[in-house]
Amino acid sequence: MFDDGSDELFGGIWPFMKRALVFFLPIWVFLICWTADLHIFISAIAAGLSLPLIQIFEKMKLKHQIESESDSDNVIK
Amino acid sequence: MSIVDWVSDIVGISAPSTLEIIFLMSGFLGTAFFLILMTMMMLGDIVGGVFDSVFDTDFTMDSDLSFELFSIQGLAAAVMMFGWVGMFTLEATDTEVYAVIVGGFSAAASMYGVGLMLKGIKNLESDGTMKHEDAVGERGQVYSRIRANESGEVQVAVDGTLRTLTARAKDKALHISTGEFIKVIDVIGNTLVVEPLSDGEELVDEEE
Repeated sequence: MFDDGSDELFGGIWPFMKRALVFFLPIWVFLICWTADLHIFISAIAAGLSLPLIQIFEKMKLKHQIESESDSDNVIK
Repeated sequence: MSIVDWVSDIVGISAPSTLEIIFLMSGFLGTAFFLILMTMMMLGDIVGGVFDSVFDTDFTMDSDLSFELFSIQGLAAAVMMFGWVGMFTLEATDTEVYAVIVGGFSAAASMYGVGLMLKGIKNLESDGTMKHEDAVGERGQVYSRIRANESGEVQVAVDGTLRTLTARAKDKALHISTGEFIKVIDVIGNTLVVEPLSDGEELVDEEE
C-alpha cells in the first residue's frame, strides 16, 4: 500500500485530527443548520456534504507540501 | 428518574429542550469519560510501579498505546468542552445557533491543546541517533578535499559532537581544498551539501 504522506501533516497530528473531524464535523454542521431552523432534510444534506471538505482540505495541504518540497530539492546547481 | 433528569437536576435546569439535553449529556459523559481515563492512567502508572519493584520487571507502556490513550482523552475533552461551553452560551445568550457554534470552536480549541501536548511529548523523545538534518546551518572545516562534482569529507559539530561526514559542494564546478571553512546548506541522504564561507561571513562570526 502506498503512503500518501498525509500522516506527516501538521507535525503528525493530522491523522488524529482527521478521525475526530470525520466524527464531529457532520454532527456540528447538522446541529448548526438544525438550530438555525433549516429543514431537517437540508440539515442532513449539509452535514453529509461537510465530509468531503475534510478530504479536499487534506489533498490541498498535501499538494501544497509536495510543491514546496520539490522547490527546495533543487539545491545543487 | 432517568440519567437526563438526574443531570438536569444537578445543573439546575427543569424541562430541558432537545439541544439542552444534547449539551448536558455531552458535558456530563465527556467529563465522566475524561476523569475515568485520567484515573485509569494514573492508577496504571502506580500499579505498574508496584509490579516493577515487587517482581523486578519492566511494565512500561509503549509510546503507541500512550498516544492512543492521549487521543481518546482529547476526544473526551472535546466532547466535555462542547457540552459545557455550549450549555453556558445557551444560558447566557438564549440563542441556540450561537451556542452550537461557540461549543464547536471550544471543542476544537481543546483538541488543539491536546494536539500541542502530543507534539510536546513527541519532542521529548530522544534515542541518541545523530540526525543529519541537524547539521544544516552549521559551519565546519574540510577534512578531505571536495573535488568538482565529487564527494569529500568535512568536519562539523552536530548536536554538540564533532563529526566527519561525507559532503559535496553546492556548486558542482567548485573545488574546495582541505582546511577551508564551509557552511552546511542542505542534506541529501547521508551527504551534506556545503558551500565555502565567504570572507564577510567569517568576519561577522569572529565579531560574534
